[in-house]
Amino acid sequence: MTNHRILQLLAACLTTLALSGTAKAEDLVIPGSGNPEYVLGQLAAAFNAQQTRHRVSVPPSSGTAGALRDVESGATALGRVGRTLKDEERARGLVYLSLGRDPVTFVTGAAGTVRNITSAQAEGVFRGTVTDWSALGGKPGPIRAIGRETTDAARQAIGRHIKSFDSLVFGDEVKLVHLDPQAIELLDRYATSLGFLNRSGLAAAKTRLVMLALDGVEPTPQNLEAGKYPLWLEFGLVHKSGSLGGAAQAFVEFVRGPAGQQLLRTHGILPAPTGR
Amino acid sequence: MRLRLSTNLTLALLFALLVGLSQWMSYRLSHDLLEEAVREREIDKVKTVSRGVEGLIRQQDQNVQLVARMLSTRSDLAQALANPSSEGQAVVKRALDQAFALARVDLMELVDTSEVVLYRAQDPARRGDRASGWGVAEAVHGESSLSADNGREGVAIRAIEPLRDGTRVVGAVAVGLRLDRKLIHALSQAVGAELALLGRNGKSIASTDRLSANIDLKAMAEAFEKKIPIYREDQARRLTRVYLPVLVVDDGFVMMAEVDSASAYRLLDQASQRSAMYAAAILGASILLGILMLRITLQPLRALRARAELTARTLTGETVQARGGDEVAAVVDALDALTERMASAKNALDQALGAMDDGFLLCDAQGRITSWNRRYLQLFPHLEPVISVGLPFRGLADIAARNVLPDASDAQRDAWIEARMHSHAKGDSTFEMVTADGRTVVASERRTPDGGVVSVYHDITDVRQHETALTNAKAAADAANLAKSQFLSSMSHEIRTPLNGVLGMAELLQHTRLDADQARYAAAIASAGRALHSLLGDILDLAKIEEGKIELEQTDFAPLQTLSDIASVYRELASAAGTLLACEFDADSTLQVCGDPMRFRQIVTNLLGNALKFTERGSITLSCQALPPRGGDTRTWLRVRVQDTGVGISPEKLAQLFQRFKQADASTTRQFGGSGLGLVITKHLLELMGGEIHAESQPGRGSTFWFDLPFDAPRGRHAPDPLVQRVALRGSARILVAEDNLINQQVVQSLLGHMGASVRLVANGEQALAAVQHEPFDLVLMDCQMPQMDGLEATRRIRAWEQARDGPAPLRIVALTANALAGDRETCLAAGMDDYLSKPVTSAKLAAVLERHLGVFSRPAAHAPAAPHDAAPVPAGFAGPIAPVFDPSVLAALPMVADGSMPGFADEMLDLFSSTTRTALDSIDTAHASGRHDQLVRLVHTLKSSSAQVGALALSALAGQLEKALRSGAQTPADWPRQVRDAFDRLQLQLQASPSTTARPRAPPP
Repeated sequence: MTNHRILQLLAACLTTLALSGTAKAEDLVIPGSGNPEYVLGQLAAAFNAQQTRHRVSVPPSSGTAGALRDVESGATALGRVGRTLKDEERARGLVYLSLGRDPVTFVTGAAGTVRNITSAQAEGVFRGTVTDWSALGGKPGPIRAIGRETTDAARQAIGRHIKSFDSLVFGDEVKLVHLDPQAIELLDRYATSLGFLNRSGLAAAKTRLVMLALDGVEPTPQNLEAGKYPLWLEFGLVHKSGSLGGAAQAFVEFVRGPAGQQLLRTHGILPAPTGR
Repeated sequence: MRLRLSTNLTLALLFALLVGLSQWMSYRLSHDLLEEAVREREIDKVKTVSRGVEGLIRQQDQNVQLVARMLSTRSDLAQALANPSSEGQAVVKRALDQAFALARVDLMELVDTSEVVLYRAQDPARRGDRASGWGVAEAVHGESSLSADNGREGVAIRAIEPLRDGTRVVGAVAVGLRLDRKLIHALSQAVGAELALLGRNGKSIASTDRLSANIDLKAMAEAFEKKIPIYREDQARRLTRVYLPVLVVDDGFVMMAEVDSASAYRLLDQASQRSAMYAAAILGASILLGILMLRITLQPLRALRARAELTARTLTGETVQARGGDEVAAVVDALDALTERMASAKNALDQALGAMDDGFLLCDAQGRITSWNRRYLQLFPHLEPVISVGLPFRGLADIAARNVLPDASDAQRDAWIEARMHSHAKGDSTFEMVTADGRTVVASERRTPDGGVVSVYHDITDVRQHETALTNAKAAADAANLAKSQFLSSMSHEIRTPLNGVLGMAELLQHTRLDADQARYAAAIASAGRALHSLLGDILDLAKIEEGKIELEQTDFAPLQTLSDIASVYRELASAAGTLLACEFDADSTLQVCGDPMRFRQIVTNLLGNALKFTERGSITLSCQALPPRGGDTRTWLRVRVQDTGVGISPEKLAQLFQRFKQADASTTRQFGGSGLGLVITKHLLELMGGEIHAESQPGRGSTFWFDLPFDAPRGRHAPDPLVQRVALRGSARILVAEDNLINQQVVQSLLGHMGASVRLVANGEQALAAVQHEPFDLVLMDCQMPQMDGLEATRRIRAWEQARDGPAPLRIVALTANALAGDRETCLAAGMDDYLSKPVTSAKLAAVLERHLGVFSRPAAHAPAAPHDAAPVPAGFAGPIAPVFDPSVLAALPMVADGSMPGFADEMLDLFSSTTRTALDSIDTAHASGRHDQLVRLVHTLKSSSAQVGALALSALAGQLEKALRSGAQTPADWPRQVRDAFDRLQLQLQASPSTTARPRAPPP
């Protein structure tokens, strides 16, 4: 066998190997926080529509903690988180990819009659001292307050602005739910309820929830970008250190691409600079 | 002092530590695994409990929803609300109370559309207030709801259903179930665990009674925040707790479940105990096995140490001091010491080799050079540039070949190298070699036990030069000694021949008529002559001893008989001197031994003679005893002692007694005579025979000489007893011997003298006739062949004279003839002779003749001459039996020789024969040349006779054949004179080759 034939055979093998690698399709599941759940679902649908090789799905919320747990255990390549990573989490080899900033807003059920809430009023409601809408200038009726645990990204975003909110012990009448869908479900069910959520998450509601201005500032991306609106959370994707591959890399590239960025803005999210 | 553990112990401890560590790790691992398994099991258990609790809560949700829905379907209640009346209130009360009682719920309320509570079944008295719970407002707007109510009275699950009158909502009914202690207890019973419902602030909302532990707020908060179950174990109390985030309808709580894990941990404890037990057993077995393995493993180390210490001790004799019980350190010490001592020993060896005057080269078993010394390179300087350790010996041989054979061809060098390699490989050769600078070197090559070859090169150049000088000196000395010996021999002959004449003349003179002075002078001459004769014999005897020319005879004999015979001889002499000779023999008188009887006799007679000489009017004791056997010596040892009461010897003189020419006193010689050689010869003889002599003496009190002498066992060869042969003539017979041959004269005279006869010698017939006419003789021995007048003529004239004289009985005349021709006997008898005696004359024949004609009291035993040894070649032209050149037994058999009474006689005869025969041979040549036939016949006859007489049998036989031929006129070989001389020369050669031709006995003491 001549050297020429050996080189030909070697080239054929390498070509076959390369083609087989590029032809590999993946199903990517991105579990985790409820905050980016809706918008990521939209991004996944757009991604799936744009290409057919990979399929990305965004399951119901398991929380940021669930995302970290699944990524660390290797159950999935990408997780979704409603906050940036803590130092100890980065130390464990996790890498955070920001999607953008989403305004956090106080929101009422569909029967809400007020359009603005002050920081003090918000604290009073969740402390359990303000229980009737009339105290907020609305139609009288009991305020059904729906809160979240301290680890919730939206609550933490409020806590950064309203310091007392961070360590606030909610009143007994305040319901405390663990997941965004649960909060949205209660907001949908109780029209006189009051809760807080990131703005993009409200798109999952079945009823017409009412976003409240805080201290007179509307929770718009413009106000956020202008620095006027103080409540926001940053969500993103998390993966293990090292290069991504396959569907995860393709999906991240899509999200950070023009279509992804546009879709984020459509949902009121201030996209993160793609250079990050 | 620092403690040093033994390697064995150290390794055992280390091994035990490692095994213990591994066992501990194994134990910990298995315990952890077991514990993990137990924990997992317990967690599974609490998970099951958690699921059970959640399921039960959901079941409560359904229950209250079902009750609420059932109540909402009651039209009577709706109508009562739609149409408020007292009856309606009664209906409401009855219906709710009944349902409240049946449904086993905790809350049951009815509100109107204004959310005002119309009736509370659990608290009928309180009514008219506004319902504040979640879902009431939604219910009056027509929506059903299920919510958790977390109020001051605790947490309750509330199901609220709108009441419709037709399609119009007229109010709502709420049914609730409190998650209170009772319900928690019921749940606890259902799931088999202690439970507590915790609020978001960590407060216990409801719990079972047996829940004893405090709430772990941290765990609870973690469960809340992470929304996952958090497990906590209380090993001390064997409990497992789980903080389970639960959603009660729509509100978050944490349910803590506590499970008793005592049984699981009991199993864990048992398993741990078993594991610990197994670990301990394995640890113990491993340690024991480890120690055993270490012992086995360290055994070669100990053996190595022992070998090293032994070798080190062998090198210097000092033991190696080991440090502590550390085996490895001890081995290191031993090897260090061994290395140091070997280096020291090698250094010492190198220094010793360097100090050697000999060249040294050592090759190993493979023929490679391992060491050499400085001297080697000095001897072979051409090897210095190339020699090195490991160089094959062939390399040296190659260079040496070029050096030794510079001009040789390659083939010659190769042959030289192969020969050298062969010699070296043999390892057992010694050879001389000459170095390039001309030095002579002796190379000795020996194989070492390990197969190597050690070569030592000894420079003998100086030795060779000395040897050459010594050889030259020795040759000169030998020449001088030969000259001295020849001179001494010649002088002894020259002295003894006239001395014999002096003695003979003195004896003859004593038989003539002498006056008293003349007789005294003649006796003095005879005595001095005998002394001189004896001294001469002693000197020659001693010379022969010192030259190692004495040969000892090995013959069977009876030593005590010999002693008795000697004593009988000396007893008369002693008695004549007024001294008593006594014998004390403490041994078997028939004892037979093998030895030299003549030397034995010589020794004893010497001592007895000395005793007799130095003892005047005293006593002499000759004693003999057999000595006990000596260790390992099977020979027979006899001690012979001669004790006298004579003059004695002073101690200082005693010490010089056995030195030559040393008598006890210088005056002794003058007073007692003697040469002073007797004891020296005695001592030499005894030492030659393996014995030793001692002497004790005190001046004036006598002397004791004794000797111890070993004898071999008898071999069956008996020597003739000279004393038995000895013939003693009755009376003193006077015998005239007419014989011209000096040898025959001496022999016959001696024989007769030995027999006690008085002998008168004459040399021819005329002298015989004259003697007979002037002296009385009992017997005449008449040689037939004599010059001037032969024996036949003389006999005839004697017979004629007798007849003319008319005297007494005719004189007995016995012919002496060589018996050469048949008819001689008849001729002799015809001439008037009475008898016939053939030559050579022996004592037996002589005794027989004397017995016949004079009468004797003892007949001698027949003497059987010893078998001839060296046969002479038969001369060409003469046929006949082969006769020995020399038969020493002929002279040895003479009684005076055999009994030692004339020890020098045999040699004297031989000396005399040699000198006279040379003259006779010259005369024969002259007669032959001048054609004087008669003279030639007579000379040949005389030669035949005299040579037969001394045992020169070959020469005698040749002379006999020649005589016979001459007499018969037969043809004789032309070279017969040369044959005769050759025969004589052969005789001389044999006599010279034999240091002691006739086993010459010692002369008795003077």
